[in-house]
Amino acid sequence: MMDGMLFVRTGGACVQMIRASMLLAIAAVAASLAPAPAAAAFRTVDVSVYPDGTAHISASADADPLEVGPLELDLMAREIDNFVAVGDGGFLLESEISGGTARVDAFGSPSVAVEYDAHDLVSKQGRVWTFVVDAPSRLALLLPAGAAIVGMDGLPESIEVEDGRTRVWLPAGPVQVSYIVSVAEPAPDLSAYYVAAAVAAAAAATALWFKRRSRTSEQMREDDKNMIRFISENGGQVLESDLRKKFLQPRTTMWRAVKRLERQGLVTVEKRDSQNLVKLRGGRRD
Amino acid sequence: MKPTGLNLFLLLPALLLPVGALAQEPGTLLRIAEQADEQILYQLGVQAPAPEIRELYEAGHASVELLRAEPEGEQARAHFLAAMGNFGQAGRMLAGDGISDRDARSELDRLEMYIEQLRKISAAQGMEVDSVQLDALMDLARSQVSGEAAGDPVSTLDSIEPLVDALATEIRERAADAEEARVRAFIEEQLAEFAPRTADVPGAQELASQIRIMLSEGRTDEAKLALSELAQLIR
Repeated sequence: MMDGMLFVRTGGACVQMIRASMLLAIAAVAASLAPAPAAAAFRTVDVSVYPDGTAHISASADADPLEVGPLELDLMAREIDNFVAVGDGGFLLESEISGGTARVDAFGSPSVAVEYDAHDLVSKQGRVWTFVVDAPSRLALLLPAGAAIVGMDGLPESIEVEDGRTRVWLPAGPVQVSYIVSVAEPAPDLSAYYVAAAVAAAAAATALWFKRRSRTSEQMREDDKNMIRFISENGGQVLESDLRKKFLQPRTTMWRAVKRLERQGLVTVEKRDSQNLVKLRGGRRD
Repeated sequence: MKPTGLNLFLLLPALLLPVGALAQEPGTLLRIAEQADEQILYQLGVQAPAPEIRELYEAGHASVELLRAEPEGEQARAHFLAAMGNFGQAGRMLAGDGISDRDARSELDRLEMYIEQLRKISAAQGMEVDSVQLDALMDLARSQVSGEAAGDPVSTLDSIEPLVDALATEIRERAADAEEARVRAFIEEQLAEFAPRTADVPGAQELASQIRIMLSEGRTDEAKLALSELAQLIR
């Protein structure tokens, strides 16, 4: 009887020990292992392109609320600003962006919605703006007001016009959409009106150019002068990230400042290892 | 409703079509190609283009005519891609419009969108943020962009940017503080949900107790991992 009781007690102790070992093992795993990231695909992607070629992206993905590791999301772009990831209920999720991928801590949320601005999805050549993307899912592309599609290398699903803006639905996969932003209504009649309009536009553009040119030389901002001086002191070229560190400016502010100098013809910007290299035109200035 | 012979007869052609064709709205390709045709023709009228650009346009226009004659089906897709390829190439060869890609309205719209996102997050998390100065500058920038107020909107936008960054930082910091409470609440909610099922699974009740201890000791990250393990045990 005693033996039996002892046996039972021993058996209970064994179960306790096994359970304790299991708990210890889980605790050890919890303490030592970093959870692996889980890749997720976007359910929907909405892209709204601004007149200056930047794009605002809204996308959402399903998530496992009990997944401890970060959720990896492919952002389609590398030059990203104003990134926000929110969970179910609208609370902000912790996130980290690296090389076009966002790692979002979505623990506790069955879905993730992200919003961000992308600076490298649209380029301009001549009059034509071109949007290029490898869409992770079906994509709704809203073009700027007055934009007319003039080129496409894939098949769209549908198109509609909303408040003067064209929205086109595209299937998942690589796609290129070219458009022209026109202030005038297109018309097939090649009349003298257009010639006169072109002459007037050229005159206005020339006047604007002269105005800007004079402003550039006379009213250069003090912070721009400091940037030029810094680039010059560093052999005539620096990374945009170094300018940000030096002048303690947010990414967008510095991006705008560099664009401003580029427009004024003072610097050129080249891509180097996914970074912007800002070079003084004509090399070093003193 | 039971499928009838007529239903099946009507459904059959749709089932035989490729998925892309099913997803496409009728007339979409023709509408886009016609719009591109008109736009390139308009640009040619403005610019007096080189002969090779005109040739590209004419090749594209010929494809649009073929598409017009046959607006649906596999051939239509080929005509569409040919037309859009030619128009796109012609467009890229046209001279630039000299218009700068800098656009204060775009920058303002982007900032507004971001601020709106931050406001939604702060509202969802019950935060009150002071944005009086930011709102005043946004109003000023809006008026400057529309021409109702004097001054350079770009300078105003440059002043707004650090305020937006400060607002974002404040919200992120406060959200990070609230994050632990949210995670704890979620874990407790899940434990309550799992409770009826833990009795039948060896080790589950003990693990649930351990998670509660972890929570009480502030070991939230360990509790998250342990909850994940518990969910796997129960499933």
